[in-house]
This record gives sequence, C-alpha cells and structure tokens, in this order.
Amino acid sequence: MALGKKRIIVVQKSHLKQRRGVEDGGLGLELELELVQYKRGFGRKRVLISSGDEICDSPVGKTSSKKLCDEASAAGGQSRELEDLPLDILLRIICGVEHEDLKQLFHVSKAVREATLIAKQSHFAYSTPRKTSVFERSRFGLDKPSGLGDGDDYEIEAPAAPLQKRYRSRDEDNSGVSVALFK
Amino acid sequence: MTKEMFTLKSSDGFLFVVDEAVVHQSVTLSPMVQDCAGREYPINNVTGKILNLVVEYCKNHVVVDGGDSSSSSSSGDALKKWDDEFITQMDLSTVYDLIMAANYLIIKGLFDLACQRVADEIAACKDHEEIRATLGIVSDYTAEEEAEVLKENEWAFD
Repeated sequence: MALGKKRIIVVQKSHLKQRRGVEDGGLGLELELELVQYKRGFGRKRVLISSGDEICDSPVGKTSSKKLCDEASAAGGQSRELEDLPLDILLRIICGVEHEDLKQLFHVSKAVREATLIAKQSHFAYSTPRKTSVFERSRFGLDKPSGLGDGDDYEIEAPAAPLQKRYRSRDEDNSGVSVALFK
Repeated sequence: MTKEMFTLKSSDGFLFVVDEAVVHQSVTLSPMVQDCAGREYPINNVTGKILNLVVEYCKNHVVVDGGDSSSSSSSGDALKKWDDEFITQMDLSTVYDLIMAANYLIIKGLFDLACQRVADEIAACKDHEEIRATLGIVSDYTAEEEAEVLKENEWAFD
C-alpha cells in the first residue's frame, strides 16, 4: 500500500536524524528542528519554530532520543493537529463517523482521504449505516404476498448509504442458495 | 485496608498523587502497582495539563465502577452525562493530546470517548470545507486533483 511505504520512508529518515543528534551530543538547534519536522503519521513537513525552544528546555538528557519526537509533539507549546495523530488513531476516529460523512472526508486532504479509504475497506464495508429507516421500509415490502415486488422496493435507497450489491443478490437468489445447501 | 498512593510525574514536572484504583484503569500503569508505591513514576509522553484531565477522568470512573449494581443505571446515566460535559468542554487540540495520552496509557474508555468527540465534530460538519475549518486542515489538493477525487467518488460509493 502506498501509504504504508510512505510511512516506512519517513520513519527511516527520522531514525537517521535522531542518530545524528545523539552523536553530536545534542544540540544544534537546526538538528532538533529537523527532528520535529519528521513527525509520525503522514510525513507532512511542518516547520515548528517555537517547538525548537521547547525541546531545549525539556529534559533531553533523561529521555532517549527516540522519544524526542513524541516530546516535541506532546510538549504542549505547539497545539496538536489532527494530522499529527498516528494513522491507527486517525482510523479509529474515522470509524466513529457515519457513512454519509465518508464522502466529505475524501475531499478534505490527501492524507485524510487515504485514511478514509482504509477505514472504508476495513470497517464501513462490513457495518450497517446507522440511518436504516428507509431500508426498513423497503424490507417491509417482502411481506407482500406477491414476493416478486422485491426488485421495485430496492429502488428506494437509504440516503447516502453505500449500496451493497450482496443485499440485492441474496434476496433474488434465495431459492438457488437453499437448493445448493441442501443438495 | 489502607489505600496505597502513587505519584505520577508528567513530562513537565507536575506531580499527581493518586490511589491504586486510578492507576488500575491504565493498562500501562497497572504493573507499577507492585513496584512503585511511594516512588515517583514518570510519564514522559504526557504534559501536566493533559495528565490532570486523565486523572480527573479516572477518579470519576472509579467512584461509579466500584459502586453497587443497584444504583448502576442512574449512576451510569450520570456518568455518561459527566463524560459528555467533560469531553465537550475542551478544545480539539486538547482532545488530540488526550487521545494520545489515553492511547499511551491504554485507558480504553477515555480513548473511545475522545475519539468519538472528534468523530462527532466531523459528523456535525456539512461539507468538506467545514470539516477543514473545524479541524484546522489545509487542503493539499490541486484543482485537478479535487476534480479527480470527485469523479472517483462517484464509482467508489456506487
């Protein structure tokens, strides 16, 4: 996955930078600024000049160089942005939104779009949209004696819910499935 | 049974004295119950401001989790109300920090609560521009890329 590759490159670069920082004994301000730029997550570069001061003041000696990036972002001097969050946390947040918001999330930014795509494939494809009132109405039509009206009822779609083709085919091929099962 | 008190130290040097029940809510911190009674336990990833909120959340959840089941429904509602007020009063930047802290300390309830707050913010937005404005995201799409995404959306959501 492209996103995965990006992450690996970013992490490798940041490790290189961190090693350099340790060898130099800490503390060229420029080196530390570079460390801050390579944040976990999506690799978006952002110059956080004020965080450079924060790093100098924080107890660098006590913590390992690996935690420098975390300290910079947790230092509190610079406010955290959504894109600063690691991918797995961003995914967890996106899984909390509803289906109709997914479309909007695609347009927000490239990074959010990639996370939304993953969430869609791993979570939303297997979950029912919360607003199911129209679905309920269409299913109600299955009680009609004719039973052949199913095709018409499925033209009523839940608002902005992903169309799951398996729903349609399951009902149409019901008899075929049961025959195959009990053969 | 005397309560053991534990001292948590934030990254910026703030100290929080909490009892065992609070510490137990964090999967990360639970093992320290055996080792660190009476000593300071440094939490390098979390600032005092955020650790204060975490401790407040845990203290509130101890009171109810330890209560008897007969009053659980009403206290459950009260707790939910407290949770809602707790999480909506803070700005999003604090919520992100809280998410990271709850993730590190592995406090599931707090993590879910904070993530859902952000999800609710997104859900409340009408369109992607409002999402950008609310979350403070700058779009990195060019005009062509945006048009492409629009086209992709049509078949992606088919």
